[in-house]
Amino acid sequence: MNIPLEMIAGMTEARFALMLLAVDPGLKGALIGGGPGRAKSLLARSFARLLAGMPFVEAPIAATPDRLVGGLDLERTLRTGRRSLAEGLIARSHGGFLYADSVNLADARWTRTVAAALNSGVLRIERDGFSAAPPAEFALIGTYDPGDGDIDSQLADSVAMHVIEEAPPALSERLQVLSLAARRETGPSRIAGDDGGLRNRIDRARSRLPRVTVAPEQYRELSAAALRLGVEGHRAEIFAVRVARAHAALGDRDAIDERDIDAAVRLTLAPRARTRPDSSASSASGERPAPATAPNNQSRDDRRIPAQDAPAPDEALGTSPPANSPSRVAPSARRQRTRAQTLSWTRGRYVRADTRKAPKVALEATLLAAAISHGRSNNRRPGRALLARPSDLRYKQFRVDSGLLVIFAIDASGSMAVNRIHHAKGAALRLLQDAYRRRFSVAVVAFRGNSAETLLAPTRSASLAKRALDEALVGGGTPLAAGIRESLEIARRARLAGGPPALMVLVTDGCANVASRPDAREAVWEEIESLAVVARRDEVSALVIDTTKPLFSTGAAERLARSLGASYVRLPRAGDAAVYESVAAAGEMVRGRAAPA
Amino acid sequence: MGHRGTGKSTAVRALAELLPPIRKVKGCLYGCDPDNAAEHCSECAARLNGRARLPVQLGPVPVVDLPLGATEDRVCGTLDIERALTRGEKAFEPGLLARANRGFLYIDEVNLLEHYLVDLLLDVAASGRNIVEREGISVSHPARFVLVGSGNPEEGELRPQLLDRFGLHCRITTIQDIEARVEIVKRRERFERDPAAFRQEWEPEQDELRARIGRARRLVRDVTVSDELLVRIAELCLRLGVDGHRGELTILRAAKAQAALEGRRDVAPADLRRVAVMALRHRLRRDPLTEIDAGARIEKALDRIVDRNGAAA
Repeated sequence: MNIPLEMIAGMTEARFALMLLAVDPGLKGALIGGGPGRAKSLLARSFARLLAGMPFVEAPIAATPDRLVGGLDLERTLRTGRRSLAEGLIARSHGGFLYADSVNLADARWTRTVAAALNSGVLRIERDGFSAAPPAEFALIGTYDPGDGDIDSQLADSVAMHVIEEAPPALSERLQVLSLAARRETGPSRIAGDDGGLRNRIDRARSRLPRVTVAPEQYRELSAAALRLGVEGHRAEIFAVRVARAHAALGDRDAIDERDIDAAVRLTLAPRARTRPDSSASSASGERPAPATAPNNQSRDDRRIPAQDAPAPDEALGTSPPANSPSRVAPSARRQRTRAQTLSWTRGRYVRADTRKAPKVALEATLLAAAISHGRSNNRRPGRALLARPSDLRYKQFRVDSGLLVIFAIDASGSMAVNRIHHAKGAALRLLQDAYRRRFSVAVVAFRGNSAETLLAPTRSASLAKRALDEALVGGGTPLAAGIRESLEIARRARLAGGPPALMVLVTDGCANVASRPDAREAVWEEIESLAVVARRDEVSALVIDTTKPLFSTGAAERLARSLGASYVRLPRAGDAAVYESVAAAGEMVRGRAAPA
Repeated sequence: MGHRGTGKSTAVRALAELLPPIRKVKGCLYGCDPDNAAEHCSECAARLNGRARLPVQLGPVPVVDLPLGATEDRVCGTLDIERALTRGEKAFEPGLLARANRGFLYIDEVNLLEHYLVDLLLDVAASGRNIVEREGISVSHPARFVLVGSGNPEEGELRPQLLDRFGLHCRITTIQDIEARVEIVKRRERFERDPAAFRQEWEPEQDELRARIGRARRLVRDVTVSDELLVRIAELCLRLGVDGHRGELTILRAAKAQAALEGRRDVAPADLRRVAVMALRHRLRRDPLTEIDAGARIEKALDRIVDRNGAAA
């Protein structure tokens, strides 16, 4: 279905960003977030039609590096005897646009490859015997559903504009969609309106663009705004000035004015504001949005975790404060040296071919070997089929990332929450300190009040983890099911992105008093049972760390562990070292199971 | 390592134009040093056999990019496909490690480098030779290079063994001064409008820097350090509890280079102060629970050893 860009209802800001991109493709792209059914991809395709003549290449986020970057064109190479490159999607988008849907779900190899090409304007190919650096001047149009998670921050920094269409469609927009749909029924030709007007505007703006001037104080104004918002790096301001210029050109102005600066702040600077600034960063940016789902009546109960390692409040109950000696790693956890990645003959990433017999034949390597032995036996004639002998067979060898995603689901409700978070923090940081040897990544979910919040998306960065856990809010009820649900969601997304297996670590006393659906208060356990089914289906392992003292135990945490098929440890006096050790041990078990045959 | 968008890669890629050319054996795939027979590749060794010297040419110092997504065959070299197909010959086609010999190997987003490539780099960096045993090829060639990495620490930690291989570690943060930021935007705009004119505008500065590096390179071999300062360096590392000896050796070397860059023949306490943080930042034992930046700890220790004016305290 093709609809002229101008006729798409709503998404005004996104449409506008695309217009600016059409005027100056040097803006390197626009990311457009919006809920499902907001016509995001329709918008992108209409844009392609508007700019007919410029390449518009769709790059599925599942595209493998050889498709994205390019690789050996086996057929042509064999036919001609000359090494031929199969051009990748990025190279094909040179001079035009690369479009990706669900760009927030792309894995790091995808996002970093695209980001590197965007930033340098060159595609560096070092693959399959090829070494080349063709120009890659293109702009990225990425659409996504913000409900599915954020876009890789490096990729987000590589393009000028970021738009999230948050508000649900207005009445007028809904009517517009309906009337358009109604007219469509009567025949598509009726709405095949034309983009001519827009195209003229773009052409006019393009020719005006080089003449648009920026006054010295306007440069300063944009830089000051970037500084105030705590934007990282300097790409943002460079883009912001460019956005302002394009905006002015589109508005038929030769000098930028307040409107243009506003647009640049809105489209380029504001989306890069660091929502959780370093405490040292400028105070102007220090607004951390409260968890949107936390109801107001809980806020009285909100407390921040004491900044440094202040003694935890349950000292009164005889628990010793955690020992802070992170360099002393428990011997049991250090026993075996885990290689970062393991070799496999069946699955993982194909890294090389080998003569040892294995299940999967490496075709290219086999053909090359055959060519060589033919050459030697001197019976190679043009036009004759290449004959591979058994001795020419080469087999694929793979590497498997034997990592593990550890998701801490922490009960942040009630009086003991500070302690639990404290211990989980210590354990998480130890895991990350060890991350390279053990290939752990860590995510943290806290559940309190009547909802669960992801405090930390999967990461290997100790500094990010520390910041997230320092800012955790505690107090309120115990929405155990919501915590499990959120954790399983993280695991699901990680798996979609080709990530490692996951281990969910529940740090709780097992008292579940708030169901994630309000009408299910009595059915909390039923809900947990059904989540357990999901966990099993998704192969998420679980470990329950019970923080109740034996005297107060109601057996709830044990029941939880049974329901989830989880391992269970009771660590009422847990220091972070003890938590770390149990998690590391459980982690090795999970990995042992997941290891390739 | 540091914030994104602060010009890290731009700076590294700008290095190539600043380095004075070096002498290479003419026609050698690895750019062997004609004056250092001990490090010759097998071809050069064979060619030299019996002869007094090999033909020489001047060539640029290689600055080689190792992009994310590079495959192992391109990094270490592999079978030459064309020769295999057209002539049925088994020939070696050198990879990035060969190209980087005697120069720089740059890895952007070094903390995201595939782990098998990290293993490979560690082996090569330790031995200075790349040994290829794959697809029926067996080759060993010299591969000595300076490893340059950049990345954002928030993306993940660098593997300790790899971190240790880097001599210096600089931390780059976003500039907070508005005038400087405006200047960055303006220069970038000028560059994009007319790259050639921009280059020309900066050529005198480039020339001067190039000449300074050339002079410093000739001078650095003659730079000396007083015994007293050696004691200070050792004391500093001891005080900070740095493991091993790479810390003090790196400080010594960097301080000499710093003195040479300033055209001096002896290392001053100020040189020590200038290089200590970058030489040691990544060698301190890390305590994930502490807020204190490694740089601040080193500065503090420095204050007790060398005073602010550069005199030994």
